[in-house]
Amino acid sequence: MARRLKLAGLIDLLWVEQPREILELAQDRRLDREFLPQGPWLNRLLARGIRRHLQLDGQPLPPLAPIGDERPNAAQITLAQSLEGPPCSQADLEALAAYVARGNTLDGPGVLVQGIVGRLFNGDYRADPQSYRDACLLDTAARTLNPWRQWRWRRSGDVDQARARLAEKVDRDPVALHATAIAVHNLVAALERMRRLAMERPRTLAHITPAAAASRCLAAPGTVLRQARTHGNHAVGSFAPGTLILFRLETARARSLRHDVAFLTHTWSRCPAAAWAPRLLSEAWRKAGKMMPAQGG
Amino acid sequence: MRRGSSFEAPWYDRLLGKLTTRLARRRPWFRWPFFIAMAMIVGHRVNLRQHNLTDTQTVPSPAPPNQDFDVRGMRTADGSYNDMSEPWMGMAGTRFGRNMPPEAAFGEVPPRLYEPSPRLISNKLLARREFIPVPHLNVLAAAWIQFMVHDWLSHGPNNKDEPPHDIPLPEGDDWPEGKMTVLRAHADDRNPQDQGLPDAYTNVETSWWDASQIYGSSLERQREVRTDPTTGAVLEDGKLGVQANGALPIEGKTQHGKPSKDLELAGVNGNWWVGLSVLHRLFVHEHNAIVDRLRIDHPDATGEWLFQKARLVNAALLAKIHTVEWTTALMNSPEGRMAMRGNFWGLLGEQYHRAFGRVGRGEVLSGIPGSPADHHGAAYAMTEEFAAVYRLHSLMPDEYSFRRREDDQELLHADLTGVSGGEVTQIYRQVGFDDVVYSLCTSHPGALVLHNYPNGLRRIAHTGTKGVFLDLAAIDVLRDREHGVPRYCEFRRHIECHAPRSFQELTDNPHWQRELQEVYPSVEDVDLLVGTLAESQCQAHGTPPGFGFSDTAFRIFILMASRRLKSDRFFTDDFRPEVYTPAGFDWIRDNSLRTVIARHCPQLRGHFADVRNVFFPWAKTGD
Ligand code: HEM
Ligand code: HEM
Repeated sequence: MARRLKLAGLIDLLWVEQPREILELAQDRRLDREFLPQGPWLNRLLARGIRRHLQLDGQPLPPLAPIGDERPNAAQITLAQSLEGPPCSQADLEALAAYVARGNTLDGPGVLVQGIVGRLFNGDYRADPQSYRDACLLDTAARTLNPWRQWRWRRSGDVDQARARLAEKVDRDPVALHATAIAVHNLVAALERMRRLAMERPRTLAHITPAAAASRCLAAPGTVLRQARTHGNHAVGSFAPGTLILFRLETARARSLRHDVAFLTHTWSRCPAAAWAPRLLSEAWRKAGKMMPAQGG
Repeated sequence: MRRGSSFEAPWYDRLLGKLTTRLARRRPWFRWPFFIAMAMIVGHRVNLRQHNLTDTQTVPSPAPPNQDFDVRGMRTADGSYNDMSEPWMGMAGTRFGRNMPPEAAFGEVPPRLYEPSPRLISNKLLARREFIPVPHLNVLAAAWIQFMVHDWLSHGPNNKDEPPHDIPLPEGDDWPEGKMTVLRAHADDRNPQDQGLPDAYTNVETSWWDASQIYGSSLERQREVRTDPTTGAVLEDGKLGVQANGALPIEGKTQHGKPSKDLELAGVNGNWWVGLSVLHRLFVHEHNAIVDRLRIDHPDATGEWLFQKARLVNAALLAKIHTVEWTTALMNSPEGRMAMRGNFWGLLGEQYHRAFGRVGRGEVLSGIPGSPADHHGAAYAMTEEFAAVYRLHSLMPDEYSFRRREDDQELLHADLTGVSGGEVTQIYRQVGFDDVVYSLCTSHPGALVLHNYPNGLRRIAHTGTKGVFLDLAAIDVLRDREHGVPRYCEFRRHIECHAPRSFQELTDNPHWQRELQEVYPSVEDVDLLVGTLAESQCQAHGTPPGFGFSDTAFRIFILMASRRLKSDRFFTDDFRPEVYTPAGFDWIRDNSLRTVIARHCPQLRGHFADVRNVFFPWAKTGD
């Protein structure tokens, strides 16, 4: 089922939430991620907001980059290869497991996870509450559809400063910036779910297998955007240049539990962390299970 | 891949669904007055259609070529082309779907898989101490449901390539050799699209209600049952093969090729026993009678055409009997009868239907047959949960007495092994067919309660391997865990049933409460099968009054029983005289199990003339 919001000259949005439809449209070359200032007024405003927030030195961050000539591109391949080994250090894994088993961090796992993701790119990466707040701000700014908030951020420069601080921590590497500022939130959400699951009933950690726990708790981006390049039709609706198509990815993932939906694995924009993230989650669950004291009846 | 929650019911259905959820929180449907209870059953079905249909076929199989076969007007051997736009749907070899959300459907792994030991459960909670019968049913009712299960589903052979399960034996257990191994279930190969999903298993039969237990699920098997046992040639008149004395042909081996002396031939002849043999024989003869009737109107038709049309009619007759006779015998309450007869005839009932035909195309007033097909958002398939709640092995008695119809004198007494496999043929050498039918219909099946699992099935000699035995009770428990069917409490939470918080809430029987507590660490660990048997004695949330099986199973039935009809083109859009032939269509309307038995065993008429339902015990000679 798709939802449409279209007011001539003002706005033209199409939300899609069926796994099958999303997977089809994610392969459809009539849709891209150029985010050109096209289409009705609010669409232009939104496209401009995305381009403004999710860029570094004028270049779009990887998940905002257009298809380009080659897919998967070199960056996708290199990152996926670099993520093939153990998902993180033993110390990091223990800290994650401790969070899942005992929930012993005051403010949730945000700083911990940002540190782990950062260290994939820079072994000395240190996350702190400020860097995690910066990541939250950048993520919110990129997602909000509210023009009033966008205008305020533009005036205050808060988002630009947050981005600059985060970029410094990773030597202005756009892939790493995206990972520590945007992708990190999916992992944080997943770990929070794990924590809740572990607490749901006694012995859940022993009863649910690591792979099942990772699948149940995985969190996909709430929405992933595409912009129509041409006029076209699809079972979900018709589109025109500038129409914004919003894949409600988390809804579709929760409905199907499929990883290829969560990571758009079999499409040109596949996430290079598609194997790494579930591995990290499974390992965290496994380790957390070992931390629990043996419980009898 | 689609899932039930993608299906949007009309607003009035959703409203009914919401109201039902609220009312069900206060008490289950059967504890409300009749009209509210009926509305709640419909409301539960709306909610189940919305939330409890998960399609697991991530990569649909390519449709086989249909080779000049009239797929529009006849059922294919493998079940393909029932849905013309997705021809693979329901075909033999496609995956079982789920009635649980995928996150609740991951198979258990050790140590949880073996905790508590399935064998301990078999010994302490399931083993029959003394036979507890269902006084208001006859044994044909037990055979019937297995006969239907063989139409709908089978997981096929287990996995011989991996090391078997080693089931922990409780201390002091007398199991042969002191070791119990059980072959693993055979999961379907995983596709890249399955990442994140639980394992899926394939149904080796067609999922459709197409009488594939009689006709087989492949062209090859179909040819075998159409072969004349005397000549060895395929019958050209469209009939099914029978021996000169009316008995089924002898195959002499199992479907998997293992020698099995004297075993009869059928589309599905696994787990064969005399009850199955009786039903197969009756409906093979019914097929042949339908062919004779159709030939009168179509003297020039080919044998192939007559065969296929007779199959359509026979399958629909079976579906009708199951819906309006078997289920109403098992759900012997006003609501149960109304709900199930309503599936076939609609709320307006059979008399109205016969007099005036359908009213509109909706399913509620005039029943599902003839209403438009609808998969409710998920490709049609049998489900794991459905198979799980149909593991009704406690229905089987351990002792069988074969008596002469004329004077009720015992001719033969046999245990379960003595009525199984090739032994059936031996029985017919000593007892006539009519006497066998008479004997089964004047005996009772076992009740679906704890401590009533037939001991004959708790130690089955493995075909072809001397000294190897199976404990089916332990296997039933193990398979549900392995297939990722949630345990009882979690299962209930997913189908809008109250999940007991203690053993005291699970069952009113204090002995059972104590025994359950001795086996399970907590009520959350109770297995589905055990829970459904224990709830037979629970007034507040358990088995509805008059029902032969649990409310837990009933929820799956109200969803799947209507789905078997509603998804099938031959029961919906193409349930019409043009497809079935006018004579075939009338045959379905005018027949029932009563007329089938009367036609093929006329001598027995007097024994069931006065019973309201042929699945109720028949009159014994001398009574
Ligand atoms: C639970 C965690 C994650 C999920 C569910 C996820 C999901 C996704 C999805 C759906 C996309 C496609 C976006 C689109 O098509 O517009 C994507 C792209 C991407 N993701 Fe992830 N991601 C996760 C974590 C990560 C992490 C930790 C990294 C880095 C280490 C990462 C790196 C990337 C990159 C570089 C792209 C861009 C691919 C391209 O060039 O199109 N992701 N991710
Ligand atoms: C002589 C009588 C019977 C015998 C010997 C028998 C034997 C078996 C065996 C060996 C299995 C396979 C176990 C495994 O998973 O490895 C099985 C499964 C099953 N049986 Fe029976 N059974 C009998 C009667 C019945 C009856 C009366 C019912 C009533 C509904 C029934 C319903 C089922 C169901 C639903 C399954 C699961 C099938 C599947 O998922 O593939 N059986 N039985």
